[in-house]
Amino acid sequence: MSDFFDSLDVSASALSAERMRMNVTSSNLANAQTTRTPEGGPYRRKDVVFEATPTRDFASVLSSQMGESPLHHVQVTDVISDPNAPRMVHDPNHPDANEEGMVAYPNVNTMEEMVNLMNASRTYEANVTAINVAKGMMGKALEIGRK
Amino acid sequence: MSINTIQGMQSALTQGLDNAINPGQEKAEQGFTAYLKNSFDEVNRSIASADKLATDLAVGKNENLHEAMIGMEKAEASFKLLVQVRNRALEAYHEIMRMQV
Repeated sequence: MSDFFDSLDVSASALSAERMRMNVTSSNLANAQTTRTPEGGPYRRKDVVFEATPTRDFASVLSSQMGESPLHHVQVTDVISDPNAPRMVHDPNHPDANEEGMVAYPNVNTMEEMVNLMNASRTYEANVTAINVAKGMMGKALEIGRK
Repeated sequence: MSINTIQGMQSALTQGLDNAINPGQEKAEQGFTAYLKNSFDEVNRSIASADKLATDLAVGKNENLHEAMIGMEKAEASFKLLVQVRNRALEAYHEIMRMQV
């Protein structure tokens, strides 16, 4: 059993997830040149991990456990660090340079982050469109029999 | 002529409505009025929760802008449905009042 509001809830979870992705991407962009972090070493690029979870309320969880509801919310379950090696740049005057004069810069590729940002923005837009379409369908249903 | 005379027909009508909404459930004293009242309560709750979402957003308790917007959309949709139900009920009433006797 699913009603019109379920699709709104699913899209809302996607909006939250995409906002999280946008936040993480902003953090990557902001720290593209950061050489110091509390954990030591340069900043490491972060990425979000999305997971499909059954819809939240009891009835939906029950029906999804019984294999009836195909609806899944999306949730950010983890923010992982990119394991790629930092970018090494020769700059002996930098205070964080090692003995060979190499500075470890974050493994952030600005171009890639911009693409991620666009992706997040477009996915957000798509989900807003889904919400508006669901709303439009509700409106159309109310028009049945109108004179 | 009192309104009571058309209540028999109303209950026959709402019986079908109730059965459609809650199939197989025993109904204690329930007419169209009770159904309407329940819907009013539900829509009122929906509007109140939308109101709360907007307030929470304004005071910074909740930073989910989209949740507030979706809550308001839900309230709007419920209210529109209620208005349509009211329109239909009034239409039926007028139809009966226009009847030649």
